Amino acid sequence: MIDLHRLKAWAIARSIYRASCILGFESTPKNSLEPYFYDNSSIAFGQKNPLVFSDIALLEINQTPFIIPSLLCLMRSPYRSFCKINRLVKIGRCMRSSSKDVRKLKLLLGVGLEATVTYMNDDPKCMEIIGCEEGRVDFYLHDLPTPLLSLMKKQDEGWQIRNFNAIDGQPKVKMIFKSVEIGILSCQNLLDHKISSALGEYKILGYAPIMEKIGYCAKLTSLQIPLPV
Amino acid sequence: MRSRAKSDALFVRSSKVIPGGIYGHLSPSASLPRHFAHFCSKGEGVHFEDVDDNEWLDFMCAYGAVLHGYNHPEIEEAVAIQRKLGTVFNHPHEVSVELAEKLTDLIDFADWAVFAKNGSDLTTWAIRVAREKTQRPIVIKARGAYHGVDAWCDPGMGGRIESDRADIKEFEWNNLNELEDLFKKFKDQVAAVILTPYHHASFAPSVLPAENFWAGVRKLCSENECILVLDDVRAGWRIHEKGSHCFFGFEPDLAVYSKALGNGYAISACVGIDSLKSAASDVFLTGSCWNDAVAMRAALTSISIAERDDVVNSVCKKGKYFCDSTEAVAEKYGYNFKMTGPPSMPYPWFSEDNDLYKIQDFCKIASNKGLFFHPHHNWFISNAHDKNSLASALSLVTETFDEMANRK
Repeated sequence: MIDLHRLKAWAIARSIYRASCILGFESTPKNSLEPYFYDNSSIAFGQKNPLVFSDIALLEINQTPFIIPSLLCLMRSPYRSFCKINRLVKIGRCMRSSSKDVRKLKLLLGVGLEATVTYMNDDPKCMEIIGCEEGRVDFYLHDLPTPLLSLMKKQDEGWQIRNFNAIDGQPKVKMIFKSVEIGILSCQNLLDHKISSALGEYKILGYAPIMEKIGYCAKLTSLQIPLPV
Repeated sequence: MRSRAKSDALFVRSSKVIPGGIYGHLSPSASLPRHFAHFCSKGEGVHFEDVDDNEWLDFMCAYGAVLHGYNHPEIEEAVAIQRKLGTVFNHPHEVSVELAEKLTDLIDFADWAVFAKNGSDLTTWAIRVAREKTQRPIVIKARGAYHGVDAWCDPGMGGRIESDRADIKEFEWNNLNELEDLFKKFKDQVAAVILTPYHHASFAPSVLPAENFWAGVRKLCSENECILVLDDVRAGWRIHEKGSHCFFGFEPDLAVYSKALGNGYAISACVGIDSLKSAASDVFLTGSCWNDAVAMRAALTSISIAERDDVVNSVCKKGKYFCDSTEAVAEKYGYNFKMTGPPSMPYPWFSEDNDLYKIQDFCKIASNKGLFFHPHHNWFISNAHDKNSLASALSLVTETFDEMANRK
């Protein structure tokens, strides 16, 4: 279990990592942004030459264009730190960009889902809401044959985002966005899901209650961690 | 696909002024939003029309609120006479006493009755009566059971605080050991056990009580001096004409009815045993229009028709014919499809369809043929269903399975 006081910072760190995965930055492990708890008040990105941020700095990431990492890590490995900072800047730029394409949708979806999953696994209220639900949840764009992203929970494991290529068979539930624009608006929490589904802006097929619960956890998470503007 | 332009346009209008456009169990998001209409215009017998003039052969009966069919002439006539006299006054109308007398005559254990508008009004009030009588806090319910819209039991997620459910404990339907453990764990703290006559959860097949389940529940409640509340809101007048407890052979201390009681007019009733009458009078109960003489007249007329025409027996027989025939058609097409629960309010279930894709597909195809079958809620048979309407429905059911099988 994650210390509840650190959950918000940890969810942000996980979301940054998810963004890095979606943007293809994780193909070079040297500059990985996979996070871990560095000490009692800071989180490191990447096992090798980690870039370290205090929890407090991470909590400000959505409000400021740039947050300052630990000076010690910068001095220890200035080049690697620079590369990672450069990736963070690119992630921030992509998040704030006005583009409306599949990549942007996938990025927003992944970032939002990663934070939600973190809360579903460790926040008591979200844990109570999601209860003992498990299985696979796929998010599709209307005319694409494979899911944009999938969530999965198996028995004792926590919820996690999975790569769709590794997944076979029918998911427990599918959410299908009618268009990129609708998907982006949904990720930005700008749609009323009841109205949108009634008007066919997205479809939910399969075991809908689980999607309802994930949607509510996403809402609770977004109240804690709004998307950067 | 049936036309839906007016339905969608009205929904867009609605969504501007009503949260979610349509809320609660009628919310399109809870069913098949692009296959069912959003708004109705009129209904008669077993048919209703949506705002795009599509006619539907109905198997939901306003989610159970209609027992004798839409716009039933006898009930409408009685209602029209009452409406001329007035609806709500400064004092209750005589019809409230008539209705209370009728219910206490009809329901064997009932010594008194009170009225409200919705099931939730009185399931919540009933557990407060139990708390008043026992001076205890805890209420036990079955996991996944629906008892209304209040914070102690609603199926939604919003607007609740931790304390809302601090004194609500749950056990698995039919698991008497788990119930007994709760009584042991919370000795002398349990005010009430509230249960539906059988387990009719949404998104899952209905489960009938196991043999001795009700006897066991009754025994545990009596031994622990706790009140047994029967939530007969959905099943009342669809399983037994004197209350579903008669069908399952037990006696509750309190029972709540609504839905079929008023055949579409908003009314609910709670009846109870004499020893709870004093507690009942100490738990505040009122609502601006709860002494609605029109709804009470509708309820009295509805009960009279149910008695005169043996409606429960009739809907059970019609339901059995419909369920057996539907299962037979399914089998012919190679589907393992069962109508679970009582035949008068069956819940459709394909085996190995826990994720609900098959039932959703089935109901979508059926909807294009004008059948209103809900994929996530039990269906209802009304007494307006007759040979012709059931034959039409079964013919469309056959077409539906045929289309489904050919898509494989």
